[in-house]
Amino acid sequence: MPRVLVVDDDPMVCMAIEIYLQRHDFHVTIADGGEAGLRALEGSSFDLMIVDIFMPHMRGFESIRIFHERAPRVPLIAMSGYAFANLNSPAPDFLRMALELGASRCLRKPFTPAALLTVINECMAEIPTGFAGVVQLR
Amino acid sequence: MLQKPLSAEATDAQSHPARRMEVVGQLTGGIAHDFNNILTVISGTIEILEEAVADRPDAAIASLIDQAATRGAELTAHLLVRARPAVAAVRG
Repeated sequence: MPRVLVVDDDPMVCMAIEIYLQRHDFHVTIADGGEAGLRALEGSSFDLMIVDIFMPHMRGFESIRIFHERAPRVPLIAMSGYAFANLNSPAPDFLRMALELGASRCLRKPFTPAALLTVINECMAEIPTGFAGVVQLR
Repeated sequence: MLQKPLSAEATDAQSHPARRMEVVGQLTGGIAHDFNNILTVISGTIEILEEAVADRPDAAIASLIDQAATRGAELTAHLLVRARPAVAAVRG
């Protein structure tokens, strides 16, 4: 069963992701902020991390940088409700910046469960060993 | 009538149109962000309810909620586009 760490300062977002992923046979650990997420990372190993980009007590993209540094081999999906809809914008695109800081994939909130599962499967498919299956939508 | 004194930031925003737009943009971006979190919760769980009530006469209600969440997502996307420079300034 793939182990996923979900880090978001909004507990409802954490719970929604947890409920959905548990139905798809993931083992989910939720953390309601950066510090709690880092503690979880120290105590357990994970196959995947899903981390909110902007959280209290973490400046800017610090969350993505720190989580990637602490577990560089664990694929990281960055998510944000601040991401812009139009990628042709001259303004900085947060999700693109997250990729540059080590995120494997990005999700713009609000996302559908199907979109979440798609990026998870893409991340898992890139892991050379360990998780070999693809989780099907149901 | 007594009025609460304005903060330096509010005074600055009142007297400078550009600063005022920036403050409005920051507020808009913050609201859109919070709504996106709420919509993530609705969009992420509604299909579980849809499955649970699929064989009931009022199953269309779940679909209606899903459609409303989709419309909400379109609205916040528009808000973020309008708030873009201010949000970029705050977060960048």
